[in-house]
Amino acid sequence: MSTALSTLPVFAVVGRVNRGKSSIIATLAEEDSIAISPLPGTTRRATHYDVALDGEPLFRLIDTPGFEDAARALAWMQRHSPSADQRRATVAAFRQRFAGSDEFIEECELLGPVLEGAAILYVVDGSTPFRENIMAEVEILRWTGQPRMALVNRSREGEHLSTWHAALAPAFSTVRNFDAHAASFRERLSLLSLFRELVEAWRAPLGRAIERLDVEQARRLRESASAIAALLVDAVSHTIELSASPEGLSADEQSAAELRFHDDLRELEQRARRRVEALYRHHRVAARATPLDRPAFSRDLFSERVWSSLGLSAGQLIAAYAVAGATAGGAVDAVVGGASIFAGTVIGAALGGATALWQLGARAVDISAVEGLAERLRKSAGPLRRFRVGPHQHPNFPFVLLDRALLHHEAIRYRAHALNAAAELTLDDGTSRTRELPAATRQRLGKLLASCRRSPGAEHETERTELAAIVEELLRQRDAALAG
Amino acid sequence: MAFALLGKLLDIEWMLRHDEERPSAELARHDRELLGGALPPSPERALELWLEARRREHAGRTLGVRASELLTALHVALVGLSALAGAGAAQAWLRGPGAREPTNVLSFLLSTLLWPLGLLAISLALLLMRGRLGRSVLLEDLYLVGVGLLGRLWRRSPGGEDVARQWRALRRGTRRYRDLEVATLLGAAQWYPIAFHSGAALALTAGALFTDLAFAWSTTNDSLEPQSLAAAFRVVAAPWCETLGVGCVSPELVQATRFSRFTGSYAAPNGAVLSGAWWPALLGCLLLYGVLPRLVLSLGLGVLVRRRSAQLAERVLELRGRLYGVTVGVSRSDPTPVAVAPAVGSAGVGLAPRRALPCWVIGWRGAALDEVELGRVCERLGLSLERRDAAGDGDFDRDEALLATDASPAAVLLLADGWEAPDKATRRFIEALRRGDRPVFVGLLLETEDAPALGIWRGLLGLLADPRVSIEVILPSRRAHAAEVRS
Repeated sequence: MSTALSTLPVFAVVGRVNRGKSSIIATLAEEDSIAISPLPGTTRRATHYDVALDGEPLFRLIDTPGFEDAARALAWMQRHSPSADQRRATVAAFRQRFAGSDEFIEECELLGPVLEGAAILYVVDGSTPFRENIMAEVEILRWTGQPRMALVNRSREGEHLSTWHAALAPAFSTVRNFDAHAASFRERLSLLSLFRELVEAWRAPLGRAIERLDVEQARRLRESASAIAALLVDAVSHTIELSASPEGLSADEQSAAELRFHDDLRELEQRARRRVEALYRHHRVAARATPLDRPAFSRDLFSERVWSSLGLSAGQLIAAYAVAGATAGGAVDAVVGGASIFAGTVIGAALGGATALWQLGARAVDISAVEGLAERLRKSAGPLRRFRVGPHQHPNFPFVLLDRALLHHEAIRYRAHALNAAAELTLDDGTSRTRELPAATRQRLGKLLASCRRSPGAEHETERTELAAIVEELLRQRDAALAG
Repeated sequence: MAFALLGKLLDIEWMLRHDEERPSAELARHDRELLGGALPPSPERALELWLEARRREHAGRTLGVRASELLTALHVALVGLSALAGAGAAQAWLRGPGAREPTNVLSFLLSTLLWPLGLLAISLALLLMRGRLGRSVLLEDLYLVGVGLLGRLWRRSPGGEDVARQWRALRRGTRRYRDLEVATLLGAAQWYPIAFHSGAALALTAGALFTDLAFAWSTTNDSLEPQSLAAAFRVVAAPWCETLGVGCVSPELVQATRFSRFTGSYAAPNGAVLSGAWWPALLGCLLLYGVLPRLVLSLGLGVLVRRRSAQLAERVLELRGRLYGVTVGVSRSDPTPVAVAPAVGSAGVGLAPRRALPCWVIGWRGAALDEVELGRVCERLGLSLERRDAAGDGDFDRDEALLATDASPAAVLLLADGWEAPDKATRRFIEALRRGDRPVFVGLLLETEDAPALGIWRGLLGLLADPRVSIEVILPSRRAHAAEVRS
């Protein structure tokens, strides 16, 4: 038996129509542009998807049309095969005979890459019972003599897995469960490791591919942390300026200004999300669910439910402010050498707590005149004055934003690309991540964000770097917790 | 006739929409009641019978019937008005107050022939430019306005339905009828110019036969030489002049009948005598260049309507398939009544006595039902199990051998799992099962009646375009999967 293998690892994903071949490709190649449809026969032609990093192809996946008439094709091959050692040649002859004709269009198309040297990934649907007719396809693939592995898709909902494994094991070197709609990055790497065992010549390139994908995943996490940190800094220091009559803004103008300000913050959040999604190569995340059915992080940034379930609790916020006040008061106590009998600490804590309480109920969007007194005097004759809207004053705002960013990142990082055309982002347990942070981290975050809020126009490079480090650590911890 | 077809299609669509809400068992029972146990000689006849019966249920006042009646009334009225307009226009030129002088043949042709022809040319140009009949919105809207007005006049009770509104709503939701509808209306619209030209031709003929008509031609444009006009008329009149030898326009006639309003006389002394020779040529122009092109266009559009109605038959086909499934359960080709108790169950209530069809049950790719459930399914479909086999297990030669042993039982019930995609092998096997007029029921085993798989099967089996192949949804409570048992 002679087989042909190319130097670049190439895998043809084959199987019966509507068994999820395209979904498996989408998830493995992180390619959400692949047409995945509940209608059978969506894939008409064999299509190559190169998994590449920095322009270097790591391996190639080929999406193929499904078997449409395998039993008849096998019958033809059996009639035209002179002996067992001629089976591969018979499959080639079959393809040569029918390619370009109206018969066996799908079979010719899917056998093409296999005969050209691709290893076979045979996909079956674990949620459906095993049926004998499938063996015609298995037999044809066996005749090609190519290395082959069977993947049992939709394995999490499959009640027939043992039957499938028992039936496929004799014809495939490995039979593996792989749920294209739920596979994590680790599961994907683990599958790639199995591919490595499939063909000796591909061991080294696939090993390198696994290493590079691992590095790439770590880079994505780092860059996501930077994106989230940038979002936090930009959002808490965001302001807009507008001109109005010297008497100030009317109620309607104030409402319109607040609306615009909120829209800007929503836009900043969306931009950061698109950046994270692009890092993980999710370009078509569906958003079809009605607003009420969406997870908390997909709802409107300023909705009641989001603010009640995400961010810090009122107690945590008051405590954070009280500690900050106590620290400042403690400094005064230290300056007077303790003569104040810690009155500074107590008063500072009380003032801090009171400030937090007041800010929780105060208007979050502050509108103030931009000009100083001298400028106002100079321009007193002018018809208009300039006002600044923002930054957002609510103490919980950055924590709500951070929570949403963390939840969104989690949903994207663990989302299979096959889902993009079909399902809403749903990976959300609805719990706030920031409420579980250690008090010290919360305070550090609070300080950094307060610093950004105080000087809206500045670049905040130091804060950005430090925030990125904190967020990266948070993401890593969550990653480890989920992997565990 | 065209409006009757439109009314029929509107009714089918309207009724199928109403039926979408009803359970399939109730529908089957109702369909059987409508057909009354009769034996329709063909699926087309079954469709006619069904439609007539459904229309009777609505006392014949369905949307399609009303739309068809209103359109016919509108059409007849417009044809009559057009004929009167044509006759009136001709009469005005021939005998009207302005006809103290001889009738100017150029003016006569301009108003009775060239303007309508110009409109035709513009319509055709628009048609070619737009590429599709469906773009001719104006015409459709004009009709709808007319139908709406007539409908309001016809409404007896204040609660009566507004046909135009219903029709418009149905049309919006069902684009497949759009081209057909516009082609029908456009075809019908050709009869108005036909009537106009015919009216003018009739008035001309009557005037020529029963009165003394005088014709002439005159022009302010001196560059229009009689020779040029004679040459033009020679070409125009050639079809009838060359073939029948009548209605020729000679250069002498043109020369002699040039008329001057300033002098009030013909160019030649014998002009008045000769001028009567113009009328056969004018009649020929009206008939050949006015009536004939419109007639050809109308007939062409009629052909188009027939072809389009055949192309959009998928909905009709769906109904035919549904009715066929019902009729094979009602009666057989043998007209002798058979004393068998009526079928039990929801589908069989109140049916005429019937004889169960011998049936070949084939389990496709391991799909199976236990005896009790299979018995229920057969009973529901009016079948009696005669033979039972399995196919599609991956051995093509065995399937071929099985098909070769087909002793043509009266019906086939192919059991298939809904989750199995109806691939080419499945469709080929179903095709092979089709013999003569026997029905092939695809018994689709599904978990729920609204499973997406049902739509997929319907869509792909629709490719076979055969009303004898129908899908029966089976929701088994106890499924016996042969393969599972084997495993």
